[in-house]
Parts: sequence; C-alpha cells; structure tokens
Amino acid sequence: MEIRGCSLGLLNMDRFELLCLVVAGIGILGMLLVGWGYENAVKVGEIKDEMVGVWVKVCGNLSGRYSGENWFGELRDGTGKIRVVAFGLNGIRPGPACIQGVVESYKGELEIIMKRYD
Amino acid sequence: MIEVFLGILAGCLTGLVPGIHPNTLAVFLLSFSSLLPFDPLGFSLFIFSCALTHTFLSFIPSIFLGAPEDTTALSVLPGHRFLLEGRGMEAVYLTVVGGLGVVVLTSLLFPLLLFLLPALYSGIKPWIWLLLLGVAIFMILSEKRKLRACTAFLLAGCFGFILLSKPVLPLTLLFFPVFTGLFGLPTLLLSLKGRTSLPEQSQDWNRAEKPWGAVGRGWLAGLVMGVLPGLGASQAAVLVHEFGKKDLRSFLVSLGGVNTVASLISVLALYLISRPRSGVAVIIEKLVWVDFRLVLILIFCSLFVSGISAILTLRIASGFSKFLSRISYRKVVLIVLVFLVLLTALLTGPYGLLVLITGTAIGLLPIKWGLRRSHGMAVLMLPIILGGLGLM
Repeated sequence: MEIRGCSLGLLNMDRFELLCLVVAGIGILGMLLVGWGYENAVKVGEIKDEMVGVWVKVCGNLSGRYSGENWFGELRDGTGKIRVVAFGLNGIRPGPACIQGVVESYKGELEIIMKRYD
Repeated sequence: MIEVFLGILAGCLTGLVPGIHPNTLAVFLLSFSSLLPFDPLGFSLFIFSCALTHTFLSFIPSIFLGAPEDTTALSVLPGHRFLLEGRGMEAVYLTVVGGLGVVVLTSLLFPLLLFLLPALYSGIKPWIWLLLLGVAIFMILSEKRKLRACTAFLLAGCFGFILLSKPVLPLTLLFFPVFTGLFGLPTLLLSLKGRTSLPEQSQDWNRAEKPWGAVGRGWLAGLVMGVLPGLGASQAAVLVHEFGKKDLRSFLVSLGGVNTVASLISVLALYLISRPRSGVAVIIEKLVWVDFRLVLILIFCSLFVSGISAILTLRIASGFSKFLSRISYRKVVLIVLVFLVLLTALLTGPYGLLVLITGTAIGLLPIKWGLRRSHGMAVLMLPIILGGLGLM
C-alpha cells in the first residue's frame, strides 16, 4: 500500500487501514457468534397475514398426500397448523420435516407453497 | 461466509462499472437462483453485501471518470475538482471515511434506532414534501441570479416529472442516462476544454480536520431519507449539500456516509418498520423472514463488509489514480464519453439516448449560467413535491 501520510484528525492512512481491519474483525466475529446454528426458521403460530409473499422456513410434523404430481397436506408444530401445497415437488413424505416456501393466502386462509423439502 | 465474500466481489463489479446497479444484478441472479449454490439466507447475505460494497466502490467512477449514479451524482462536482488538483485519492478517501463511519455509528446506535425509527417514520412521512419544498426555495433564493436558478430548477424538475409520471424503463435503468446526462457528461465535456493531461495524483497528503461532525450529518440525513417512502440517498445528498458545511471535504465525508447508511437502513427497515425501502430490501423480504437475530447478523455483516470494502476501495482507487496520471486525460475523457453513450444505447435503447441528450442539455445550463449544479437534483425533488401536493 503506497498511500502514506493521509490523515483525518488523528488517523493516518496506515492507522485507518488497521481500523478497517478491526471493524471487519468485529463484524466477522459477531456474525459467527450470532449466526451460530441460526436457521431463519419460524414457528407456525408466528405466520401472519403480513407475511404473504414472504419466503419462510418452518419445521414440524408434515401430513398429507400426493394428488397427481402435486402434494396437499398440512404442517403442525407446537404452536399451530398450516396448509401446505407443493406443485411438482418430488420425494415428500409425511413425518417430521423442515420445509421452505412462500406464504400465500387462499380463500381467506394462509398456506405455504412449498419450494424446498429437507 | 462464502456468500458474503462473493457479495463483496459482485459489489466491486457493480460499483466500478457505470450503469450496473445491485438491484439489476440481484434480479438477474434471482431468475437463475435454482442454479446457484445459495440457500435463501445465503442469497440474502450475498445481495446485502453486494449492495453495501457498491456504495463504497461507486465513488471511484463518479470521481475519476465523472460517471455517477443518482446517489453519487453530487460527488462528481467536488470530486472532479479534487481530481483536477491532483487530489482524486483524497476525495475517494473522504467518501470511504464517511461510509465506514456511518456503519460503525449505526451499529453503536442500533438499540436507539429500535425506538427512534418507527416514531421518525410515522412522524415525518406526511411532511417530507414540505421539507423538500423548503430546500428547493432555499436553493433558488441562495443564488445571485434567482430567475435563472428558478428556470434551471424547473427545467430539471419538469424533466423528472415527465420521466417519472409514466416510466418507460425500470427506474434503476432509467436513472443511468438521467444522472449521466445531468451531471456526468457536462463535467466530461467541460474537462475536454483545454486540458490534455491530469496532474500527478497525490498519494501523500495531510489534513487535520476531524470528520466526525460530517459523518454525523451524513448519518442523520441518510437515516431520515433512507426510511421514508419514495426518497433515498440522492435526496439526503441534496439536504447535506444545502444545509451542511460548505467545506468540500466535509461534504464528501457526509456524502459517502449518506450513500452507505441509506442502503443499510433500507434493509434494516424490514425489521424496524416492517417495510422494504429499496430494491435490494424487496428481494431480501421475498427470500427470508427478517427476525431480530437476522438483523443482528446483518449489522455484524455490514461491519465486516464495510471494513473490507473500505480497504478495497482505497487500493483500487490508488492504482486507478496512478494509471490515470500516466496517460492522456483527453483520451480518457473521450473514451469514457463514448463508453457512456454506448452503454446507454445498450442498456436503455433509443429512449435512453434521448433522455441522455436532454439531460446533458439541462445539465449544461447551470454551468453556462454560473449556478450551483445541484439544481439538477430537482429531477427527483419536484416529482416528490408535486406528489405531496396531490398533483402527481
């Protein structure tokens, strides 16, 4: 780095670069600490009308069956139940599962259009 | 973590190449999301990192090439003056100090923002058009030639009104010819007069002014504008320009801060006021549910990204300034002029070219009439004022 002597107040260029690295270090440390084991999953009971159109991840007990290529069922956890629909998604089995999808409203009720099945 | 690093790389690309906005890249990549190795959370961090890095790097083309976007448009003017005095690096450094400062400030004051921002949002929202009207009147009355100032303001404002009342192109695309025309091309055309080479760009300078006041002003303006609907960093830049210190160095620090904090707050607003305030925030909203823990991750991510972006910006700008000093400036300006016109034609077609030509003509007027060039920002201000009056 050939920029030398540049300063604003008490900071010269080398110190400024060190400051940048310290800030970045705090950032990465914080990300690792706060993000450890984070899955961005929500409880069924937390899904509200204002979440229509939002992608969510929900874990619980999945029940239902295929009708043609599409899956119709529901997901329950300790906080409630919600209807789940999947179009053309293979390999879905009833039982404990984490699903990801978009919250939609159908005939006045909330449902999840499943996009991923873990 | 890999998503954050890739986001920083993508942000370098969008920041350095005029005309590519993170929104455009995010929408483009979203259409191929099934092919990407990211889960929704990873993709959100990627876009967030890209947008934040973009706010640092985008000052390089704005200052060195006179190729701005809406949020950096006002930096062209002092930035170019610094460049012609051999202080281009200093101008970039000042914007970087502002950018890094506001991210640290936002992180430190986040607990306060949890209460302040919702109140601010509901309190100021109905009156923002009145604030902008006040700024507009102040901009015109503070000029010596008031009639000419009024004409320049209204011309740019009507230009914005026509473009934004029925936008033919997506706004991120439309803004490219608008701001290149209003601020970029007039600066470049002016640079062609007489000058054949740039002075040696100083890599070694010393200034003893403390930037914290300028960082604070940029933070406050970016915070207010970033959270209000229909407004953003460009309007905050006008506020700082008109009401901040007239010292160019302080202005560049504030401008660097405004740009970054508006981008950061627009995403944090998803949690703080449950509303997205930028294209990137809209995409993130569709990918993940923003809870408190994710907000904390985003804040720490912003610290990491801004620290790395600050170093990258200074190193890239340093190399660029040395390169510019060695070659014919007239040739560089001509190449950039042709590049901007071709890019406009490629991205926006004949309509964009028409916008570019009109914008350039309007952007040349304040120079010709000896007025402040910030009147060009009326392109966004007048439509918002008219919207507040129920006329748009």
